[in-house]
Amino acid sequence: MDCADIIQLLSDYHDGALDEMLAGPVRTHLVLCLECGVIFNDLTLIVTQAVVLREGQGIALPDENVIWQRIGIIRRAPSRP
Amino acid sequence: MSVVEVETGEPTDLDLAQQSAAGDVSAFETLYRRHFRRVYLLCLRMLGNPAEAEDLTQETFTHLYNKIGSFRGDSAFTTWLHRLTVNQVLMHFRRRKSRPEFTTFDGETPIQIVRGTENPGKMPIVDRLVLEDAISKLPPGYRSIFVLHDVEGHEHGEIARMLGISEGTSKSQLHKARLKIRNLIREQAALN
Ligand SMILES: [Zn+2]
Repeated sequence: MDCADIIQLLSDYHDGALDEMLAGPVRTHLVLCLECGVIFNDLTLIVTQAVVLREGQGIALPDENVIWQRIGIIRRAPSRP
Repeated sequence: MSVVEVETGEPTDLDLAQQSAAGDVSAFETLYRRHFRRVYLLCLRMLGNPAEAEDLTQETFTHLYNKIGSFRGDSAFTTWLHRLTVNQVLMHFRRRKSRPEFTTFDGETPIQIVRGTENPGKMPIVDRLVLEDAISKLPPGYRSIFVLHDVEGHEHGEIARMLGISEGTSKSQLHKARLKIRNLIREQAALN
């Protein structure tokens, strides 16, 4: 397998979705080939950081009151005591 | 009711959904406030644009209000709402005729690999802002799959069902999305 073949497999390799017939050659290639090793490290960084995004820290949220108003569900009159 | 709910006295999502279905708007408002952040963030990630994400959040909750009676508590409410939100975003893509190109065959849009060998140690720091920026620049199809898999943690099988594509397409599009993000980050770093 050449570098192009290996690069095609890097996501599946990262995600543990390759059987050993393919994972073995990828593993060996990544040790020997600096270029593919760099690409694999980059993908790993991206996937690791993506998990952190899930919590959405630091994202400015819109005013939920405004969007609630826009949804425009008519409130029933408050019940009297 | 679970033990936790008894202790806190908080109504469950199912309670609130049933009350909402019976016309209790304040129960629905509680559900809205409980899940607003999660729905908005998912819309924002999939759309890459705050104004559109606000519109879709509004549409999703309007749709939710009409559909709330069909929630039976078979799955977690968050899972059900998540799926409903994804469907709203996909319908939005279809409406504006920018349906994500999920059906692209491998090889039609080869991702040029930005070589990093000259500076193997110089991948810029992939922090939250850098990654958010790159995701927002992805084509919608790549963005949807990257967000659903790598950010939201769905399996390819689930994504395939949600998007109406094959698992193989989901996998190959995810790989292209990751490579594209890598290129965007490296290109951006080269400009700085
Ligand atoms: Zn190589």
